[in-house]
Amino acid sequence: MVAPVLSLERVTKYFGTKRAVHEISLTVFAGDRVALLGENGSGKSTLLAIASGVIDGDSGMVVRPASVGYAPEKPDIPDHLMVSEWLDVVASLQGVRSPEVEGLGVEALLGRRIAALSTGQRQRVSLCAALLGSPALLVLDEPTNGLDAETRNVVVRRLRSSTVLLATHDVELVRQVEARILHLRAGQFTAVEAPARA
Amino acid sequence: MEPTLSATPAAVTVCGYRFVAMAPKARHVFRALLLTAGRPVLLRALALWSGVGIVATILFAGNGINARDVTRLFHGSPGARLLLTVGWCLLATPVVSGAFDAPGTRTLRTLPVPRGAWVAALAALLLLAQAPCGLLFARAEGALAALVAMLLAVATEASAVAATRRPPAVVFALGALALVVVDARAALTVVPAAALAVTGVASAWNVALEAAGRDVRTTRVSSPVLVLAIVHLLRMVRVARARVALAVGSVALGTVALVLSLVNDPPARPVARALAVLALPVTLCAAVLVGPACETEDRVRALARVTRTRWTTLLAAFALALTTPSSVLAATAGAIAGVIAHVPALPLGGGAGIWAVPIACAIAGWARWHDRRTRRSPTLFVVGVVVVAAVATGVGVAW
Repeated sequence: MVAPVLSLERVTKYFGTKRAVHEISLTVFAGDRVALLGENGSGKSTLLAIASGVIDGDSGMVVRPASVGYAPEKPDIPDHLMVSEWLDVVASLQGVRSPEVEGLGVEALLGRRIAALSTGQRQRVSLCAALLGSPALLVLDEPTNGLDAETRNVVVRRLRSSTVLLATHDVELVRQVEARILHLRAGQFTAVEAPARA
Repeated sequence: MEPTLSATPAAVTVCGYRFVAMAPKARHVFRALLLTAGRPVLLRALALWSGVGIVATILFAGNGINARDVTRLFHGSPGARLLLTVGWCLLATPVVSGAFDAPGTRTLRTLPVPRGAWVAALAALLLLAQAPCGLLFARAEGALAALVAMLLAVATEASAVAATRRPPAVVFALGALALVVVDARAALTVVPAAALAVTGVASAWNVALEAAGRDVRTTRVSSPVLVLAIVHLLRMVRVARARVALAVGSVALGTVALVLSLVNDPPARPVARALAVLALPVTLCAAVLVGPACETEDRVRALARVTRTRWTTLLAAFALALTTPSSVLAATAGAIAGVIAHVPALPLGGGAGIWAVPIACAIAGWARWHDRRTRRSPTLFVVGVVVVAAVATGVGVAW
């Protein structure tokens, strides 16, 4: 029997009195691609933050792998650093020997300050950081926001060969990566769809 | 708040379209600039003036030195002139640098106001920031000498800011420093000094929104503690230069106090005296620099949690980032005071450098605890800093 890469069991999270996630259970196996779909405020980003370990749930149990690559919707990167310096920081904390930056067009940005990057460029850097060291699980929030078509295709190819939990409004992306779809409303799963074929 | 400009419209009709030329009054231009660039400049200037005011009080009130003694020292040799001018400019450049790309100034640039009007208003604002320098020369040599000193300071500082984006602008700073070295009569220097000041300010204003020059990569993949400490230090150096200047000013003040203490009342154990005198300035130095470190830690918190970085690693990096500048500045202060007061500089510098480590660690611990509180209070933070300073001074005195 294949062991799950990520397991969430009856996870609940409140922000003050607002319930963001309610008793959610989810299992992701190696090679799975799972997409969370839902309207704004349905709890997608909160669930991803819990799955990646950025925040803790109020109750429930989470089992996650040792290495997780996480790219939030709004890349939260110290903007006083150069791109190469940020990748060094991520690699050092991930225990990766040398950062690989091929494929996403980050090579040309290495010498630039993050403060000077456009939204799309920041997104590329954030994705590149998440992919460092080929983590066992990728947790990506709106990964194609602001990306040009060429970089988007690179991301799609990369996602198709990874174990991914992603949140997006981009139905075309979900179809391209052939992800299992989980619909989320008010912090609860409302429907499950089998992977759509591209 | 967006600035508003009232104007005297002068209409021109071209091909049936009516164009209205705006001619804003000088006071409206200055007011608009004050509402935008004025805030960061005056806030930073206030910190600088406070630091300089404390040093001046110690020098002028307690030790019988007057403004004329300082200007006599200034005119005594080209080296002294250069040293004093560069020293002042190092302290005041972070104040000046906040003017050119302050929030709201992008909007000002789009308004139908001649660029010269903004440059003139900026020059006036930046002259204001040089008030302590002007006051010194005004008391000793009169208003014209004060004006020249302030103009040369503005020219040097603004050109230095421009040179971070366009290196050739450093020529104007060198021109201003050459005038300082030549030290001609104020009546002869005022016109070239004004020209250099206006040129320097115009250069800085023109290039302020361009990307800064290439940074040098400072990190490699290595130990998490070391890498995170470098990230903290980079924030201090690249973003919080005004705080760094304030920290340097605080320790410089401590150096002056230590020199005066060692000269006026030679102690049996100079190292113990150094620990007692430098405790407060080193505590202030660490307290000023802790803000950028807290900001950086906020930004890397998500990454640290995802990568399961231990809290001890984060704490060690934070403490290392804070102790490094505090310790280096304290050691330098001790060594300089030792050389000036003819006391062995090595033990004085070494003792001060080591003494800064527990002080900075105490501030680091206090700041992190305070930062994690739900209700943060600047007053509570200051109270903690005062307690650390008092305990450190007490330990130094009791040594």
